[in-house]
Amino acid sequence: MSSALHDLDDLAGLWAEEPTPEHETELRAIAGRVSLKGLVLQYADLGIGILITAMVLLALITRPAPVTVAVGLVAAAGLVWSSWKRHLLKTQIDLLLLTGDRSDLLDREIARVEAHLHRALVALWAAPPAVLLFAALAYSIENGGNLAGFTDNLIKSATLFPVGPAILAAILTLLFQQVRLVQGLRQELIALQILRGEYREETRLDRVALG
Amino acid sequence: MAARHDHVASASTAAAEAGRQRLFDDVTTRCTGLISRIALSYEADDALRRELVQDIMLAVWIALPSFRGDSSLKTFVASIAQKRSITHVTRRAREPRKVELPEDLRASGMLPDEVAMRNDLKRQLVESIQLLPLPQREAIVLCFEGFSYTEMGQVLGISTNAAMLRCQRAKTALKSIMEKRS
Repeated sequence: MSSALHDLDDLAGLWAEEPTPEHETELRAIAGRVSLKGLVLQYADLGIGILITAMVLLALITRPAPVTVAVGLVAAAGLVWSSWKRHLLKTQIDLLLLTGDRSDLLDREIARVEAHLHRALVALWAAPPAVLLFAALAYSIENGGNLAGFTDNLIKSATLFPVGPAILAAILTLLFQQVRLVQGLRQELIALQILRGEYREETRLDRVALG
Repeated sequence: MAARHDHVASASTAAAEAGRQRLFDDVTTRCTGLISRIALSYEADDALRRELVQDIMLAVWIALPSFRGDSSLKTFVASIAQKRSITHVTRRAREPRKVELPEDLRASGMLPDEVAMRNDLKRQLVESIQLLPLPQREAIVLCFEGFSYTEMGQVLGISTNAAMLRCQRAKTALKSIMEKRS
């Protein structure tokens, strides 16, 4: 590389070149789609609330009765109110995440990923016993509350082609997906923690230099 | 009375939406290059970068009602773009992939040899920027985009002096990376 290009002005000039006309057109097309997508995202909660309310009202109109009208109206009002509250909360969170400072942003992201990871781990560990419990319950109902021979039946069902292996494969696929999710979340958490460390180190260097 | 209140509320909502759209049009006219370059400093994959650009624009659209004009629109957009890119990078950590930058980062109004050389230099520059730690990457990109130290401080949420220091460290680190690579 030419040493002249190591000059910051040259690098800045090279970096800040405007997009080519084709790229500019592409960027404007993306921007054109964003307004509509933004409106849809912003008002999706509210829209669903209104849709459910409309369905409740329709049901009330087709089968009117004083008690159902009263219950339906209360339910509809509750739905609209909760949708509106959720919409406000979502907007506030979005704004906070987008306009808060770096440490806020990283702390919130770390808390979010930790919570997600916790839920994913609980689901992963709870899934196998839940499947076994469900199978035991089904067997018990079939046999009038008797669990004798459950293990043999389970092995027999699992090997009974094609339904048994298919169900087993589906369960294993779900477990595999969950394991992948947990691994991904752990990697994301590590990346976030490293990033928070980098920001803290930069802040420390700033403080040292500024005395 | 209630009907009049509703009418006023819906009129003010409509005015706010119109104001947001006006500002967003301004962003589209003036800041698409900036958004595209910030995305380039965080994402080498072409398709994922397009997604990131769209995410940034959506984030700007969502955040525009909070724009009060305390800083310039460009500063506001850069701030949002950087934050959205940070979350993009950490989410990408779930499935890391090494991607080569495209050969034709830029090719207009020059002889083929010049284009090839400039493209090569730009690719080296972009790759070197992508190797910087994120706090320094943010600083150097803002520096290259021509932001003042005060504006950089606003975007990064640090003081003007700290912005200047961070930018200097980023320049030193970038030069070192580029020298090693060349």
